[in-house]
Amino acid sequence: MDLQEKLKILSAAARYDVSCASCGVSRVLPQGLGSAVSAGICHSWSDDGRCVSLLKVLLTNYCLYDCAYCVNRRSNDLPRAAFTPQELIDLTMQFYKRNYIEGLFLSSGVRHSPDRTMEELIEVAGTLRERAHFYGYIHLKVIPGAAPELVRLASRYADRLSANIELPSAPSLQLLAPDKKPQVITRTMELVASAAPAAGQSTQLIVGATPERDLQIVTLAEELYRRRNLSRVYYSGYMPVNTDRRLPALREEPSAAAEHNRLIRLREHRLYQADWLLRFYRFKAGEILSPEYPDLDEFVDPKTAWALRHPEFFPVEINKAGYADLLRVPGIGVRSAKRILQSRRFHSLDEQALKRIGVVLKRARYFLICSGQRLDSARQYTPATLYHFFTAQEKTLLPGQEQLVLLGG
Amino acid sequence: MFIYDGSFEGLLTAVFEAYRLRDFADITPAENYQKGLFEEARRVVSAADKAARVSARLLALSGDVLRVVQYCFLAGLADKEKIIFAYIRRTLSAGRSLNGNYADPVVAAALACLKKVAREAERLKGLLRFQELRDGSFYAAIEPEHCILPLLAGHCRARFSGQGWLIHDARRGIALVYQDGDLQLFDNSAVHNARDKHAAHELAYQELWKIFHQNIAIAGRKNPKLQKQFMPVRYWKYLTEKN
Repeated sequence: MDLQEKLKILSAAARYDVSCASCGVSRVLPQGLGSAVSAGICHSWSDDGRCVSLLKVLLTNYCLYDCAYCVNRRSNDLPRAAFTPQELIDLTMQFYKRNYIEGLFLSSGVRHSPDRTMEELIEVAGTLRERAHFYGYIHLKVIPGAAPELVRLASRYADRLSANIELPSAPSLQLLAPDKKPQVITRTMELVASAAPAAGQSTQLIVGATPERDLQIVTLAEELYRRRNLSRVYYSGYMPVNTDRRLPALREEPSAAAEHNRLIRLREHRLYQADWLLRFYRFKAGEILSPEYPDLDEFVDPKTAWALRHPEFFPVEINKAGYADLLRVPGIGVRSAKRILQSRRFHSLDEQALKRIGVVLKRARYFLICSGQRLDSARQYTPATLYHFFTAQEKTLLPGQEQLVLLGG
Repeated sequence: MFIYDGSFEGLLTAVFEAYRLRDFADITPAENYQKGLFEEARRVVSAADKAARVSARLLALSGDVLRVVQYCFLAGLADKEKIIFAYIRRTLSAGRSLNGNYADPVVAAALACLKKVAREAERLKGLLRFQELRDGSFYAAIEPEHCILPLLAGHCRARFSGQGWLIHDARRGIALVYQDGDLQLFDNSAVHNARDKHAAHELAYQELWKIFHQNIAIAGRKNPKLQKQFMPVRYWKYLTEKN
C-alpha cells in the first residue's frame, strides 16, 4: 500500500479524536528543527471548521477491541493500514518544515497488546526527538493498561499525554466498551498524572451515546480538573458511525439526521461553555447545574442561565466590583474583566468606556450599574422577561413588557 | 501638514519637528500626500538623532509605549499616523503610560490598531506555507494587510534555524531572508515564481498534505462558514490545501 493510501485511511480513522491543541509548553533550542509556543498555533481549519494544529493520525487502525461507538472496532469491515515508524517520522518532519503543522498527535488501535502498541508509539516519538532532533509539539495517546515504565518513558518524549475516559460513567463504559475496564482507565490516568508530561494530561469522552445528563458530565469534568489535575477535557458529540443495538438508532430520514446533528453540536457547544466556566470563570459544577436543572439550556449560555436564576446577585457595580464578581456578569469575559480593573484606576467607567473596553453591552447592560447609575436604556426586568428577550432575538424590549423589579434596585 | 518619507525614523522625526515648532498638524507619508488648497506643507527630512530622541523619551515612560508605536506603524491603515500621533501626544502630556486605560478613546484606538497587526502576525505564523526549492531552501509568499514580516522574524528564526528560508511579502515587495544564521529584510525584492524551481519531492508532500486535510474533516459536519470565519478567504491564495 502506498503512503498516500495509508495517510488517507489513518487520518480518516483519527478524525473523531477531538483534541488538536498544541498549547501548554514553550521551548526554543539552538539546534534541530522546531520550537513550541505556549499558546499553541492553529495552522489550518478543516472543512468541518475545526482547528488543525497537529498531524493527527493513528499508527494503525487494526484493533483487537470491539467498542460499540468506535469506527475502528474489530467487527467493522473497513480498509486497515499501519504506518512504519520511518514513514511517520518523515511525514512529521516534512510537514513541519513546510509550516503545515505544530507537531504530531499520534494515537493507535491496539493491534497486539496495550504494551506493544505503547512501545511502538514511543519508538516514533523517541526517534523524532533523539535521532531527528525534532523539537515541535508531540501529543501521544496512552493506551489503557500500558505498563507504568512505558507511561513514564512516553512522558519523556511527549509534551502532552492523554488517556481517553471514553464515556461519562462506568456502567456506560461496561455496556459499550466491554474490552475496556473502568479501573484500568482510571489507573492509567493516575499513571499519566504521576509521570507529569510538560503540557499536562487531557482526556475525551463521548456525549449523547449514553443517557447521562449534563449535570453528571459537568460534575465529572470538575472532578477531573480539581482532583486529577487534568489540563483539558474534550467532549465529543456522538456521531452515528455504527449500527448497534446498544447505541441510539440511526436516523434514516435526512431531516431527522440533520436535527440530530444540530442538537448534538449544540450540546457539545454548551458543554464547552460550561467547561470554560469551570476553568476560567471560577464556577463550581453545582452552580452551573443542579438536580433541579440537570441539563444545560438550549437557548441561553450557561453563564446567562446562572445569572437569570440569581437575580439577588445583580446588579454588579462596575466601578467597585472585584474580578470574580465582574466575571459573573453575562457579556463580560476574562479579557473585559481584566481591562475594567486596569481602566478604572485611571477614571471611573461609564457606558462609552465599557463599549471601548469590549464589553458585550447588548447582554451586560441588564446586569450592571456604573457609579450607581443604570445604563439609560436598561430598565429593570424580571428574569423571565429577560429570558424571553434573549431567546426571542427581539430588537428592543417594549416598556409594556416591564414587570416586577427583581434585578436589585 | 508634515510630510515624511514613510519610514519609522521619518515618522519619529516628524513628531520631533511638531514638538519643536509647537505645530501639531497632521503627519502624512509622501506617497499619500495630495496638496490641499490652503494647506501649508512641511517636508520632514528623516534624521536619526531626532528620531532617537523621540524613541528614548517614549522608552523612558515605558517599553510598552514604544511597542505600541512600533506595532501601529506596521499597520496597513490609511489613518495610522493620526492614531500614532494622537497616542504619543496623549501619553506625553500625561507623562506616563496610559496603556491600561482602555476607556480612553485615543489609547483604545492605538491598542485596537496594535491588536489588528499582532493578530494578523499570529494568524500568519500558522497560515504561512513553505515550499521546498531545488537548492534545499524554503520559500513562502504572503499578502498580508499589515506589514507583519518583522513580527515573523523571531518566531521563524527560532523554529526553522536549520534550513534557509525566504518569506516574500508580495503585496509590499519586501522579503525576509534567512541564510546561514543570518536574517535580513530586503526592500524591492522581485521574487520570481517558485513553481518551476521546486525540489523533486515538493509536489508529493503538497499532495500528502491535501490528502490529510481532506480526510481529517468529519463529512457529516461540514461547516464552510465556520472554516471561513477562522481562515478568511483572503489568505487562501497561498494555502497549499486550498489550491
